Amino acid sequence: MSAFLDGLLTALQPGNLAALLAGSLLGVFAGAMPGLSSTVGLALVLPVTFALDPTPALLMMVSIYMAAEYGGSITAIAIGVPGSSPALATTFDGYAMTRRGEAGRALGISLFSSMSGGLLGTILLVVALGPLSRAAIAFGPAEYFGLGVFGLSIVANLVGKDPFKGIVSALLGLLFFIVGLDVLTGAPRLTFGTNALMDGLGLVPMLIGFFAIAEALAAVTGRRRSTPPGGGIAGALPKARELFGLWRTILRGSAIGGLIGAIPGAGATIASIVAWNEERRVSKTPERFGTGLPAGIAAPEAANNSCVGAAMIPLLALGIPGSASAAVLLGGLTVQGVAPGPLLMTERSELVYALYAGFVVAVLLMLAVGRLGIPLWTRVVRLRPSILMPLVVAISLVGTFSLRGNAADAWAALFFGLVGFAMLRGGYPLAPAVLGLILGPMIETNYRRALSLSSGSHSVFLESPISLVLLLLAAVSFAAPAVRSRLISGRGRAPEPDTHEPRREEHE
Amino acid sequence: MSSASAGGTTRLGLLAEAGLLAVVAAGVLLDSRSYPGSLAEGAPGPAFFPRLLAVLLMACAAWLAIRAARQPPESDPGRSRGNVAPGAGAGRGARLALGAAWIAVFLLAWPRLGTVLSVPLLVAGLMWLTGERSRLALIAVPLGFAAFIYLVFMVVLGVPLPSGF
Repeated sequence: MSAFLDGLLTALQPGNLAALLAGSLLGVFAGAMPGLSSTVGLALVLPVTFALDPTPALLMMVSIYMAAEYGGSITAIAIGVPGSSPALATTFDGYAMTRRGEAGRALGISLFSSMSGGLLGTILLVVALGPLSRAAIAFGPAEYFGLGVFGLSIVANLVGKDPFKGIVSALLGLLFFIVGLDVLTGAPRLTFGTNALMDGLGLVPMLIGFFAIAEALAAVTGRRRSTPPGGGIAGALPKARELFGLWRTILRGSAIGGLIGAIPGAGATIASIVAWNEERRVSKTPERFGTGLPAGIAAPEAANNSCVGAAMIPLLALGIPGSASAAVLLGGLTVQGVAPGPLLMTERSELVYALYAGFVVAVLLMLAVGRLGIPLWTRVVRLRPSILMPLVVAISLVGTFSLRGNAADAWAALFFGLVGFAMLRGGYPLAPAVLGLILGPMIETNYRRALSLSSGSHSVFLESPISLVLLLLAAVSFAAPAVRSRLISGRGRAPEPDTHEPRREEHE
Repeated sequence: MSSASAGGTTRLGLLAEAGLLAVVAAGVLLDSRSYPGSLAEGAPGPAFFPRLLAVLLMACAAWLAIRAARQPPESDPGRSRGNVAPGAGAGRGARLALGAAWIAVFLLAWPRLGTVLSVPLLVAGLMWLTGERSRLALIAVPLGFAAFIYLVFMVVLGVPLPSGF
């Protein structure tokens, strides 16, 4: 405890506090800007940290990472475009609340849940560093394949009124990930001899195309959304009673985020989608998810912020980054001459405890920055669509380009915008396609790796208890909607689940 | 989304979707013929997953075609209710093409004109296409936004966006 207090005193020194505050501001901005993300924000400040001492440099990066996870929800809620991929699930209910004129309430719930998730993730980091690291390192190809299939089983709950079209959408998402060089053999697939396609179709251009450009094209064709009602901003903020009433949801989301975040490679995007789906599954009114439920915001936001602390567990204990952002953080540690691994706790314990305390301070600063910013974000949603949507397109294209300095990414965003628009016109939900692109690499690569290690024997997926449990959970998840539907129809007619993309309804 | 009004619910729409899926699946199958074999014994090669997806997409295309064949022609929701304004679809299609073309022109011109010149043109064009007619907004918003992009991305963050010429 005294070591933690020493760490807290270190984190509260003026220079370190300034670094945390700067990180919080930059993180919220990077998370909120479509095309930017915590990873991009961290990468952008990496050169700046060269000139800083190790402690403020790492505290600034930790603060960016934490704040960016909340920042992604701002645009997800305000304009229906996830600022970064972990905020994808937040758009389902967040934007629906904005359309009802409850942007302030949604942002308040997101902020409170992010703060709670961030704190719980930090506690997890402090308490469970050792055991969880051992569990995470036990994941091999078979377990990752099981995790990927379990993640994909969520499609069963995202398909909306026409399950068939949801499945087609997921298949198309899986197909999009094929484009590029095969990870295991280096063979070009579906590149048609084009060098620009060798790197594949990225997730960010897909997200921006589907959620920003398709929306703008809908506005251009006159299928625009109505401007959400404004309402009083202060009055629209959630009451403390409502926030604390979400404690079960936040705990569940944080636990899911903590578990998935500690598994290297799984990441906050999968954690937030799984958390949203699990919340829907345990709900007494699952059909209302996607129509603007506070729990639909709280679960994914608690999960993606909980992931931040959890992703640090394998990073600090084993030097394995749990996410792309943690990989950039690993770069920051290396540049500062800090070698993560089992010896870190003994050799640089003061730095580790300063990082623990820095996480707590970063969460509180995120709360302050986020709370003060809510009036600004809610004003954004009151802009006329004829002004807002062109700005969304422009900033999305600039942000996409800035990811890798590659014009091909901006073209990919336009391609996905047209595909997304066509899919929406045809009644195909977009979320399953995004899930397919995210999970495709995990499923295919680990399936092939596992069979390669087992000389082609599929029993490898059943011999591993973790893989077996995940595959069984996936089977249950795939079957659950059909079973639920049958049970409900047995009791009488019940409303069909929504498509979970309610923001698209008014286009039609 | 109200699938009832979505384009894909008409017989022609379903047939078009089925045809598109079949073409995509056939293209994947053709492309996968050139992939190398597996590097490890017993493990599937790079062609396995694309072919599996192509077969599944073919099955989906077939199911869509069956759905189209079962659908009576009079079930076109727009026509049956007589609520499709003549020329409305064509006008929307033209605006969609214009919007997409304007974004494509921006992407082509961006490296040559630079960010500061091309971004205001993109924004102003899209604003006009989206129905904005206020001259003040059409001038002030694109210029103000370009200044924001320049300051934040190019000056503060140091992102090397195209500077043109």
